[in-house]
Amino acid sequence: MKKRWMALLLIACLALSLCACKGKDVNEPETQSDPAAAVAADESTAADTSEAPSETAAPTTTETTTAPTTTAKPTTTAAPTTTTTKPTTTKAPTTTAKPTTTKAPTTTAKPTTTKPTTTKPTTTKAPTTKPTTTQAEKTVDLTALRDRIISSAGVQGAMPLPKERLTDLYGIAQGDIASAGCFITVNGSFPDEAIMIEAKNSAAKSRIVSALNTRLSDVLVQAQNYDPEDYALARQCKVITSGNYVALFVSPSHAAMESTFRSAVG
Amino acid sequence: MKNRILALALIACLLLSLNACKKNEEPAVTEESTEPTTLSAIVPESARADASYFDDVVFIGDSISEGLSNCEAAEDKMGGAQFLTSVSLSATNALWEVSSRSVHPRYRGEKMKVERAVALSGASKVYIMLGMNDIIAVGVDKAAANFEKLCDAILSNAPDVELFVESVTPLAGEGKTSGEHTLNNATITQYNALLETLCLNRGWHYLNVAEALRGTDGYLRTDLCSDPNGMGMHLTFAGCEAWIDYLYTHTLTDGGMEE
Repeated sequence: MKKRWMALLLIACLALSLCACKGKDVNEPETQSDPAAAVAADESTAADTSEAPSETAAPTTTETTTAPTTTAKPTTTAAPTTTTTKPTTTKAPTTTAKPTTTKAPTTTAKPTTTKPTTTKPTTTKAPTTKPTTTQAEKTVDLTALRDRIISSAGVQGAMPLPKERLTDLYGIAQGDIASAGCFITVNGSFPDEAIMIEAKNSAAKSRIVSALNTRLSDVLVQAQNYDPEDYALARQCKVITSGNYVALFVSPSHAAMESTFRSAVG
Repeated sequence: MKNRILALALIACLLLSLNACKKNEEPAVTEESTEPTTLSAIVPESARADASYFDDVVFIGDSISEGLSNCEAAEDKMGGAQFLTSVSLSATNALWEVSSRSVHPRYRGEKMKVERAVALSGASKVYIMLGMNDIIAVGVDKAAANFEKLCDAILSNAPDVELFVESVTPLAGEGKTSGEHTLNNATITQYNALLETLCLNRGWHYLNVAEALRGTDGYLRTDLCSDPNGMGMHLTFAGCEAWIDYLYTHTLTDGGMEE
């Protein structure tokens, strides 16, 4: 009888020890979920708006060669996201801004410099070609002019900008550029940006003027959304031309730079 | 005699089972202690990469990154890196529709949404630093949520890109408050912590660029700040160089999460 009891005890003991060991495994996986908790809760909201941006991106993939104005279409899809309406607070600091000025730079291309050529030939004696050649073919070393502007305006940390970079930065074709003298800085929220280009011909010139006006309108919009002082400065900047020379000075010292440029180019 | 043998067997059996249980406990403890520290989204320091590493990189950012873009335009230090930067760009306003009033960056002369530009750029690595303009406008939590939405939009347009999230750089000054939201080093730190967690959860890479520019006092080093008496956030040329140097020495050679 005793033997049987002992055998039963032995079996019970084995069974208990097996149960105890099994119980240990159940607790282990707990540690994995800890770090995820904070952000996981927001994942449902992320799904809402991730749909919206993809909608506008979908329509065109071959549009790169087409005119920039074609982007007007995506705006018709309207902002389906609720988040787009709330962030309007970013606009608040710029209440003094007057957005209408973006038009101004496009018409500032001053044709007045061409006028003298028509007045001079009235002397009848002299051939009409003479005055025009002195005006249009006046060659200016734009890199030397760039260095002069940097030193005369006292620009800190100016970095010369190679003309090869004008294509990806401003969309200006290399074939349109006869020569260039440019520099940029990284100073503050309104870094200096001086672009002086001699266009190869009048058609190239108008394309360059257009590209720089686009850049200027971007600067205006960005400054308007950022800092009222920067915006006030940006509003004073303009694209200026003389013959085939085109320039844009985005800088707190733009007036001095423009003056130096005008006196050099004529 | 038989009883004694059985009793001994019983005791031995008990001892053995206790021992077995103890052995089972040990590996569980070591797993717990190592697991939380091994997984990290932070890109660790690495051997200096070649300039060609940046050939397939596109940078997305605000005025801080615009400074980097200007440096690169003048110095040409990072291979064929492309830039989609715009002053006052934020993850929040990047989600808006494109318009003449929006601050979306241009790609090849055309103003467009960031995610579309990324897809057109053909880049396979996306370095993104946004948040400074979000924190002051919508607060830390909403800023991080919008950042994730923008990243999702990028991934839905360019599913094969690898995302490298750059920490927002510190301020040199005390920051500012607009309405109910404050931008200072404390809120930037909170935001960066959310971004790091986001990267960990989503399998994105986190580049702690801020550590390269922060002084021992936690502020942006004044010698690297171009507007210490103004906004106190923009970098000097030396600051951009320190940033570029950090990027060169924090790269992934084999991809994936670092251990």
